[in-house]
Amino acid sequence: MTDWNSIVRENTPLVWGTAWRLLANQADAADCFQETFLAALEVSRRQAVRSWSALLVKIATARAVDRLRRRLRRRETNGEASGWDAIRSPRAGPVEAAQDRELGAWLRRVLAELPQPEGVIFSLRVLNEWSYEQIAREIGMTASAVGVAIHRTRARLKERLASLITRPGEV
Amino acid sequence: MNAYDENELDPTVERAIRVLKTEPVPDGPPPPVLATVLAAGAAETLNKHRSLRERITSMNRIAKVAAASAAAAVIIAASLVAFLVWPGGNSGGRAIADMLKSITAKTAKFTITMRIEPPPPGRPPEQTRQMLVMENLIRQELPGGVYKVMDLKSSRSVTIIPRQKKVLVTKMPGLVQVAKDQMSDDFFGELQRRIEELRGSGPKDVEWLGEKDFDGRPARGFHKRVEGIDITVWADTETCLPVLMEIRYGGGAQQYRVTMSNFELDVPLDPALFSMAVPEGYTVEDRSMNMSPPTEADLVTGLRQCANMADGAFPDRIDLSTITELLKKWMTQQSGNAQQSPTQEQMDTRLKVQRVLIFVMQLSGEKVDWRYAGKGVRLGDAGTPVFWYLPKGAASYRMVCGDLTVADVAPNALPDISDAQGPDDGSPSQPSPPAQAPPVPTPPAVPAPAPPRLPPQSPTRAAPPAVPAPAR
Repeated sequence: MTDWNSIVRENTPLVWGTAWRLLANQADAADCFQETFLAALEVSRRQAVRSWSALLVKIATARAVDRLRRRLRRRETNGEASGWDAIRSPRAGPVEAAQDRELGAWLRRVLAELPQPEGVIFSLRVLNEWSYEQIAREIGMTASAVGVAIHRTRARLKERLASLITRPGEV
Repeated sequence: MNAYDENELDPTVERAIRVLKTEPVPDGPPPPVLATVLAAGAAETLNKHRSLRERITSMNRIAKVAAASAAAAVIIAASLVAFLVWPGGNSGGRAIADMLKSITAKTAKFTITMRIEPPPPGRPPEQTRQMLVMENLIRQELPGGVYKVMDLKSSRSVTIIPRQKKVLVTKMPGLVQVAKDQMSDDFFGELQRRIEELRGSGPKDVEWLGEKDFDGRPARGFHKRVEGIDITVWADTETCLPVLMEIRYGGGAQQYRVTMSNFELDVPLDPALFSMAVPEGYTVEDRSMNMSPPTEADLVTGLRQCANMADGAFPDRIDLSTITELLKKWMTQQSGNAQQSPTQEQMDTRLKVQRVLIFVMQLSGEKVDWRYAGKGVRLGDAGTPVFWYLPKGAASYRMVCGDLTVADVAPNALPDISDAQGPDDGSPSQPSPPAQAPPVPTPPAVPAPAPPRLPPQSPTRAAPPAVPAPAR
């Protein structure tokens, strides 16, 4: 019998960290954390779970990216600032630290704008350092398709960055 | 990292990634969230099936109301079917599919009240029925001790009429296939998808109505338009159980309002209530009702039947309201009472018409592009487009004309009829505008001449130039 308590305790830092890194918001990360475990629990009822940590990271990443997308849509719907102005840190501080905060917020925004599942694949690759093969196995794609998705995402990131840099004073 | 992507890494992008990876993560999650997660798995073994209420309770607060609403929505679908099947009517494929999904996971008990405004002459302003649902069985309690039990898995229903000592046994071939195609064992997954859909639909689709008290208990409400039907749901903010739901749609001179209340989910129900055994001494009357997914041939047959019911005129629209009105008038003409239990022949005829609606609902559900332009067209009007749709994966549209011939038509040769009904205008169950004319119990013996229907750029409604010889 699977010990649910152990699964939760062992994977809490991993899932919480995954959710927080992408969402950087206490309430959203908490919701994502809870949804992730409950979704994994349901998966376990339908099929044997090979690796709980892999399953949980995959679900947490997908849910977090989904939340980022909804956050973006909400901002756009409500007419809130959704561009660079929206992510500019309001706090004054060392230039380096401020730039880092803005870069982090920029990357989250770009991840939210990526077509699915590219955002999830890219996050699993660069944030969780999963191999192409591992991503392919968990997402249900071929390793080469994963490679293509990551390549495409990098190209998009470069493009987005270039367009930002052309706007004076933004980076 | 693989070589072939890392070489392309932009230093700034790399820095952004590093920021995300190294950003300090605060302690978490909050203890109540962790406790909820632990309790979700500890309350039972991982393989045990949980009730809907337990599933909803185990969700976080944001998901709770959405889940309750989603659950409410499937019960609405079930109730809509209940409404459609009484007395002795039929139900739509998609609604049945929704109902199947809902009832595989729970028992339910609720009251359903139908009001017709203004009430038809000689009929009470409202009728109330008790509905019981247990797995694949639905029991509907009717006045006079009459009750009906439907088994969705065996595709059969029995209606027990004590006063006449009679049992109507209705076979519904095709229903099992609908169940097989549509029923989901993954109810929780289905619920999750519905929640996501609800959450993602945004304020354009869901109108949140805020909170108000029902008998001293706060409830949260929302309004949504589903397939053109107005649905209002109020769910208890604490228990997340539905408190009140209302379906409204308009039809010609009358407005229909179906209200569901007194909900009890996952209640123990006596299996004897769902017995389909024929009581001793009762006579059996066998009937049948084709519940298989309708095809293009059903569309053509049904359109012919619709026109025959209205002295050769096709209906103005294909929607729940129009079809309900058409059938009601026809039944009144047939027997002098639309509420009288129909004969098998009448049921067959009625089903042919209802399958047109189901076919169109099916197309909408599959996101298939379709248009209906039957208003003002008469049966036999060769070359006048009445209905066209693009089958999944096809390059050409299928077009039905007034003489009920069907042809393939290229997309660039489609007719331009500005008032054609389509999937984007809330059809097929788009309520008609509020009633303005007084109720007309029966159609005139000779309908008024149909107004000319001319496309904006053409003096006559001719078939598009690219229509080849009719396929059938």
